Amino acid sequence: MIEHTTEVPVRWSDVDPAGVVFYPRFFEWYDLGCELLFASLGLPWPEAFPRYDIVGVPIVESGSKFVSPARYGDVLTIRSKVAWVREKTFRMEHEISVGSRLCSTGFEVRAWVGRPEVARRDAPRPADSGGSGRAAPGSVRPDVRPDVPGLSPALFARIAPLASGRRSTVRTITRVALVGLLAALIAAPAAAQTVKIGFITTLSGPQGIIGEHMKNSVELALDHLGRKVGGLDVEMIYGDDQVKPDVGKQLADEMLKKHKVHFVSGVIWSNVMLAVAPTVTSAGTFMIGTNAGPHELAGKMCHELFFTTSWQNDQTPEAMGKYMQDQNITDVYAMAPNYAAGKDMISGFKRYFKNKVVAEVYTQLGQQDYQAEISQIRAANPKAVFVFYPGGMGIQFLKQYAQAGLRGQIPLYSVYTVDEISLPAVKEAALGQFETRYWSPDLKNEANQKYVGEFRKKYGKAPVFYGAQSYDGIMLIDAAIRAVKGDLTNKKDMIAAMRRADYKSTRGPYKYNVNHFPIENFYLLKAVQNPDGEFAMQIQRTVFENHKDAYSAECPMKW
Amino acid sequence: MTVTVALVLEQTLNGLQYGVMLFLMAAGLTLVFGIMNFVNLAHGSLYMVGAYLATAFAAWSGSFVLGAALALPATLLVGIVVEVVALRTLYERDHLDQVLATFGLILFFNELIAIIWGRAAIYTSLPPFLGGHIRVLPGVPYPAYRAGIILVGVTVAVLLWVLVTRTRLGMRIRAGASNRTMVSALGVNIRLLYTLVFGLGAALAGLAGAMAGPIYSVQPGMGEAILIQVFVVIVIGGIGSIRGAMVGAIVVGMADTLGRAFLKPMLATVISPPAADKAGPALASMLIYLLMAAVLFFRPEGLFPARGRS
Repeated sequence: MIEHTTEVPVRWSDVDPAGVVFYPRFFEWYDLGCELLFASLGLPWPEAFPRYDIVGVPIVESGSKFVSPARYGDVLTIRSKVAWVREKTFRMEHEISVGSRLCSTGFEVRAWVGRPEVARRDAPRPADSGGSGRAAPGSVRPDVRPDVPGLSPALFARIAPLASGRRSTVRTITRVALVGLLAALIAAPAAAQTVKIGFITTLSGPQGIIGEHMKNSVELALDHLGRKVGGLDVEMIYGDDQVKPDVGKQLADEMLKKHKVHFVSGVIWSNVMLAVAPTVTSAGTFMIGTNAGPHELAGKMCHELFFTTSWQNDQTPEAMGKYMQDQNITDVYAMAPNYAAGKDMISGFKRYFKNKVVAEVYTQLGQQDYQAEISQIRAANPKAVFVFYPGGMGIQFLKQYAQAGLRGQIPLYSVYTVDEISLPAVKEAALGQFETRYWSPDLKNEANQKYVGEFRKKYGKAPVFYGAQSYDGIMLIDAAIRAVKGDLTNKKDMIAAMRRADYKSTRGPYKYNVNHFPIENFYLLKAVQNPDGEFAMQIQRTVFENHKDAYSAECPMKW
Repeated sequence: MTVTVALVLEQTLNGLQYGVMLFLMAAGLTLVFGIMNFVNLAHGSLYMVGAYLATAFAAWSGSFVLGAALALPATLLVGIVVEVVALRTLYERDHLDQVLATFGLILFFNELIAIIWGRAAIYTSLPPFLGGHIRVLPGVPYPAYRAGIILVGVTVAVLLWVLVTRTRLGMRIRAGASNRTMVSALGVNIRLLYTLVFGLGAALAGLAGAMAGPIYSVQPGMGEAILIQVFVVIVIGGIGSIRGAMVGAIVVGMADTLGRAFLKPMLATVISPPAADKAGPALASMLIYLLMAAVLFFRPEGLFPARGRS
């Protein structure tokens, strides 16, 4: 930001008989502020105007607010800054104060007025007001004229006679250079190109803990990249969706229209994702999902600008179904909350589990007490129980399951129920619990060990898969921007780069399916207590290698 | 699935335990609502505060019982501070203003808890001596902790009954529920009475929270989940009546638990099992609201309306 401050005393000639400054004086001081600002840049008007071949910078609009009076003898501080610079006009903003007391604020919009060109036969002539019949002696450069609505023909007529016909291409370039110079100075701190990434997650309410992990992981990824993404400066815009699809969509709109982001990332919930992803991709912007994987986006609604670093919702319960089938567990009691994802989880489970499901119990979403259902389980006495209880529901279910004494009796298998967020809250009550997942903190690869180690160091707790995916999301964007050498307009090559998944993922190398969902391994995890007393998830074995989701065949995309 | 006597007994106990928990919450809310004519949405926040304080005190003292015992006066204190600082000026306002203000308190408490303890659910454990099971009947084990909750709840109910019907304070509370203007005209310091009643309600919510810690998830926002059921309880029971809260809580606890357990098998005998699979859970989760609608239709004042209320 260009700024200039100067001080002037209020002179006798500035004030009325009461000793108060006449209001028009302020406009003179604004003018002075502008003149001195140019001088302070080494561009005093008498030298700069001829050098850059301009006539001047006449005011086309001005205004002022008078907050408090200035009096004879006061020393005024005039603070002037350039608010914006455009090709044909620029705006000055001024503040005049006495000590810490503000007297007035004002602005000027000034035009860059160049010397008229040599009259060309086809050159447009300036409109003449009132039909005075007095044609302008020279035409005005068309690139100045149209965008200066306040510039009267009379003024043009005054400027025009200065035309000498000496216009040269070189001088045009130098005038443009002056505009460019001022514009560059104004934006000096952000001179390099900046990539803007909008990150939508849940930061408030009980589920805010997930968003906190995701945000922390994004920040860690930026630390590891030296606060640059793809070699460009990065600006992150975080948004809190409050677990509401409509809020998520509003955030996406705001990011696209107000912040003009290049990428939108994040999104925990499938219903939010179904509102956000089409909004983003239809605006021609990349959507990099880092959690939700609704089947619609993997199938018919797949899009070339949509990528995810997580999974399709069904894949994890499919892995659990496969494992339990392989173990030849004959009858399973299945439970989930009564909403869309709960039903998807059970149907994904049943896609690979072909033995008997003795009961499918759907409980109320957000239910707190499972004692009634647990009594039913005890009465049914199945070989195993499979549940999907994310968040607080899982904590409650696990505690009550252990308290009912079923932990040792009937083995419990789950998806998205025990993770590094819920483990510290349930501890012993989760011991021996089986989960399936594509990732775990103990996965042995260089990127993951770096991520897990540094996350622990920076935030003092174990990371969770939500975070690993978000970390990967930033790394994927980084790789894509690198591949096009920072040219954010080259979406075609960025898509090609992302399809290669050519970055060090925390899950190890993986490939993308045609629908831009990962083809990845799924592991069986078990909740154990480490020798140091910490409760952690530990990989037991690989259930699926390079597992594809069930919906990719419905995706019409070809590559 | 066979429905045995043992299972029915166990589910009845579950319903009773849930009802007792609801009663502790509802008693405070109905007193505040009935006597002070004040809608306190933040009652759930006091429940959450109770759970957090009990967990913190238990971690500090190493004893669950001591933690819960300390949480009780602490929540009472929080309740009194909230009443004096925030709510006192709202009694003369209409219910909408009160709802708005106490909703603000919910947000305030949730964020405050998140700032102090973080957003993640925190670990609470059962006291070892309550970790086991008791045999209610041969072959019917029941978690000792839940039996303990029933015991505490029934004891509190009896104490409350004694307090309300056999003491001078209780007389004033009842009088306040019937006719506030007359009570203050007779020279009772109604303002002090309000503060006491609010504190008492807070302490009861805190007790419920302290006992809920080991079985539920202790996290910001835990109070809102139970608050809706509590409102159902006081609507069914009759606003301002302790007896109504007791009966309403047991009815809701039983209906909810037994509905979740037996509605599906019962439906399956009438309609086809796949249809029962779909309708059962949906109907079970609606049951208490259907019950409330029925009570509102036949007895709009609730089952046991406080006497003298118009």
